[in-house]
Order: sequence, then structure tokens, then C-alpha cells
Amino acid sequence: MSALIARPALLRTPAQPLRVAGRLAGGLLLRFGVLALLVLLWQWAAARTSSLFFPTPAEIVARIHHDWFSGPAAHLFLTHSVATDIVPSLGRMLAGWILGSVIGVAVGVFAGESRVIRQVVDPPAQFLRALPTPAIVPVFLLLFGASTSMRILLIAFGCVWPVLLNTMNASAAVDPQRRSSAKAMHLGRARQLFLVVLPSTGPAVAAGMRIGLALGLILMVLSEWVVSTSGLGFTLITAQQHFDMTGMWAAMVALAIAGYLINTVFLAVEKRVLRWHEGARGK
Amino acid sequence: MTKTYAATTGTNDMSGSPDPAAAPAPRTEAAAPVVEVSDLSHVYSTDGVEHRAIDSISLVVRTGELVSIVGPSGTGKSTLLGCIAGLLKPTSGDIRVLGKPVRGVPDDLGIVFQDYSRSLLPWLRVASNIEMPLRAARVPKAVRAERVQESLEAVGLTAAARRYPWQLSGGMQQRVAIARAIACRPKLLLMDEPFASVDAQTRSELEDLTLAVRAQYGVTVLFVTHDIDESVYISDRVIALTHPPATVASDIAVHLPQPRDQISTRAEPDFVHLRTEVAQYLRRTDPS
Repeated sequence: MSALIARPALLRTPAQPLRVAGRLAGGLLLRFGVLALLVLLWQWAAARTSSLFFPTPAEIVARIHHDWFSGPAAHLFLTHSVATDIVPSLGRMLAGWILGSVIGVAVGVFAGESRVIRQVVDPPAQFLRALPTPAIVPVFLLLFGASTSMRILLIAFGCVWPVLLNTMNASAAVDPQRRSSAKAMHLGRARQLFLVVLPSTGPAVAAGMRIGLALGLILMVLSEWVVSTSGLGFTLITAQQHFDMTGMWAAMVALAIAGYLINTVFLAVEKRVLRWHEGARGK
Repeated sequence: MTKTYAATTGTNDMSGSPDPAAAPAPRTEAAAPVVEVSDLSHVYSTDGVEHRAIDSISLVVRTGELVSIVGPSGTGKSTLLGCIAGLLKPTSGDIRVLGKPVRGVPDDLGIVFQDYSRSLLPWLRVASNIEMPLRAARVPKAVRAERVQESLEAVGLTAAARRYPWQLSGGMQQRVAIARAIACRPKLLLMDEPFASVDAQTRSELEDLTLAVRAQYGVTVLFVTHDIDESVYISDRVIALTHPPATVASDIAVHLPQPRDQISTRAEPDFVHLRTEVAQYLRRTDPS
């Protein structure tokens, strides 16, 4: 009797993880299938050509592994070059991005509170945002020299405008009813700003920071092309100048991977922090 | 002209009154005024065009009363409430809340707005939303938790404390707004068309909830609505406003037995008379 009941369960049990694994594989295939196919195509084409400019992906991956991930286990397999190539790049990028974002949010929230300040801040901010940031490199070089702070400030300069403008507009657009209810709760001026206005601007700040992140990566590479001694951009340009084609491609691929990972992490954090926004809008 | 009746229904102690027929003795002048509006006018001007929303309104709300202000849409009811709440600066006239002239939002005041989705903070959980005015008042943390719990119990939402407002139905969100407004135990509760955007069933529930909260906290309530039935059902006194520029059309005491009941109160002949009376006042002022 019990066998009758047990049998369907027995049939179902092994099928369950299989189906989950199948769905997972399907998802991965859909997500990375085309990319994998392109890499395979590239491998096939590069192996066939005699051009020195196109090493195969296998060679590039081997080089990435050799240069940065063949270190001792005690150092998490990271080599010494990581400290001169990757860490300075990412460090400067993140420092500049955070600096620019913090300034952008602070000035933006403050400016959004007053129409007069908004009118004063808007035109120069729009103008400086429209200026292609690479054009400012010579000025920054003169002002700050070829230093780490120059590179950080350059990245911050690029990131600050989209964040500032987004924050300012969002802060000015906070629902008047929301402001009234904050006042009705006897929140002081500072608390209104920190507990009501600032969170309200969250989605716009995140959108600005996303733009800033893309700009930051570009400026990071660019800033390492001028009078530099470290970083992935420096590795890239040096390899090119020494006709080290595999090294050049390895730096390029490493930059792409770094950019992808940073963006993915940011999106995940944004999704978590701004969960309320999606939820509230979904209604 | 403005007639100010003394409310004749019991207030603070009405919840304990077992016999609705035993109406308390008429209120004496001893009941202190909570809201005093005298000769209030407000003119909006947009692009040089002046719109007189309120014209010389005078009214008094006394301790423990639940007074509703009823009038057609766009009559300046919300403007009046905004002025009393200190959120709007009236063009002329004098407002006192608890004896003090209104400059900014008065102390001991809670407000429930019509649009809960715009007044609750979507990034905070229900409990944190209710805690917000307590934080503003610098209430110690332990007391805050206690008050939040008490407010949640008063509106019957203890199970939703950890949820976000947008995860709740409209009626539940408005309960959160009420809980937040009473968390600081205000002496005066202003409600601006609080139930205009919920369905009829929820609306009845929230009306009764308002009466229960008022009984529990003994709070004075000024209740703005455009619904004549609602104003008669819920109030001790109904103040009807005219079409704009709004002024007081009539001030009618409601002598319906307490506690109110959605079915039997609305079936009372007095209820029908009162709603007819209010409707007639409102129609009389209709310029069209």
C-alpha cells in the first residue's frame, strides 16, 4: 500500500534537481551563449591568420593568467604585478568616482532646495558636462602635475556633473505633498533634507552614478596614458609601444572584465538599495 | 452668518457610554477652544490672476470635538486646513491652535493627508514610518518602540509592522498614516479628505476606526470631506462651506446617538434630516 504512495515521490525526487539544473543551464546558454560563440569564432580565425596583431583568445587568457593570477596561494594566486597594474587603476577609479558622486549629491541636494541656486548652478553645470572631459586633461596636468591626485580629480570631475544635475533636478521635484508631510511631522530643516529629500532622490542619484561609472572607467584609462607609471591603461599603452601584442590584448580584456564586474556589482547594490522604488512604482 | 453651536455630544468619555440614548448634558463654555479661526481669507495668485479661495471664515473647534468641514470640490477646504496646520500662510486673518497663534506647524498636531502614497515614505517599513514623528520629537528609543506598537494596535496593523507601505492595500496604508499621525499623541488631529481614495467598504471601516481612535486618545479632530453622509455620520458638528470664495454656510450640531453604527445610525430619521439640511445649505450657495 505504501509503495503505491511512495512510487510517484520516488519518480519525482531525481527529476527535481535535474530540472533546476536544466533551467540554470538554459539561462546561462541564453545569457552567455552568443558571447562564447564569438570567442570560439575568434579563436578559430586568429589561429588561422599569420598576422601578429591578433593573438588567439587562448593565448590572451594564458597571458592574463600568467601576468596576474599565477601567484602563490598565500596571496590568493595574485601576482606581484596586480599591485602595480590593477590595484592602482581600480583604486583611483573608485576614489574619483566616489569623490565626484559625494560632491555631486551634496551640491545637488543643496541646490535643489532653492530655485535661485538652481538657476545659478544649472548653466555652468550643463556647460561643463557637455565639455568632453578628455579635453580637460592638459589643464589638469598643468595644475596638478602627473600625480595620483591629478588622475583622481580628473575622474571626479567627469563623474560630478551627471550626479549633480540628476540630484538637483530630483531634489527640486520631490513631491510637495511629501515635503508637507515631513513638515507636519515637525522634522527640522536638516532632518527633512537627510531623511526625506535625500532618499527621495535615490533613484536619480543612482542613474547619475551609473553614468559616472562608465565615464570613470574611460577617464581612468585615459589618465594612465599620460605620464604614468602604473595601472591597466599604462600596461596597455606600454605593451602597444613595445609591440607586445598579447600583452596589449590581455590588458584590454582585463579592462573589459573589470568594467563588466564593477557595473554588475553596482547594479546589484542599486537593485537592493532601491528595492522600494521598484516596489512603489509597481503598484 | 457664522453661528457657532456648542457641541452637545459627549466626547472623551463617549466610548464608555453604554446607553446611547443618555446624551450628555450640553457642553458648557468651559471646554477650551483648540482651534480658533477668525476672519480668515486666502488669495492665491498665479501669473497675476488672483483667486480668492477663502473669504472671511471664522470658526471654533473645542476640546474633544470631532468637527467636519464639508463642501464641494475646490472649495478651499484643504486651503483652510493647510492654514490651520501652518503649512500655508493665510493672506489675512487670525488662527490660534491651543491658544497660540499659528506660525509654522503647531506642536501637538497630527495630520492625515488624502494621498497616503505621497505622504508615507516608501523606503521605510511601516514601523519606521510611524516612528518618524517620534524621532523628530526626540522621544527616547525605548519609548518610541512602545509608542509605535501602541499606534499599530490602535489601527489594527500589528502584523504589518515589518512590511513596506507599498506592499499594503490603500486602506491599510491610510491606517499607517493615521497611526503615524497619532504616534505623538497629538491634541489635535487634522484629516484632509482622508478616505477619498479608498473603496466604499474600506471607507466605512476607516470612519469607524477614526471614531475608535478618537475615543481611545481623546483627541480633537477636524475632518475635511466632500461627502455629506460621511460628515454627518462621523461628526459632532458639521460646518458647511459655500462655493468659492468659501465662507461658512452653516454650522450644524449633530445630535445622533453614540456610539455611531454604520447601519443603525444611517437609518436614524435624524441622520436623514441632517444630511438633507447640509445638502440644502450647499445647494443654496451653488452659483450655477
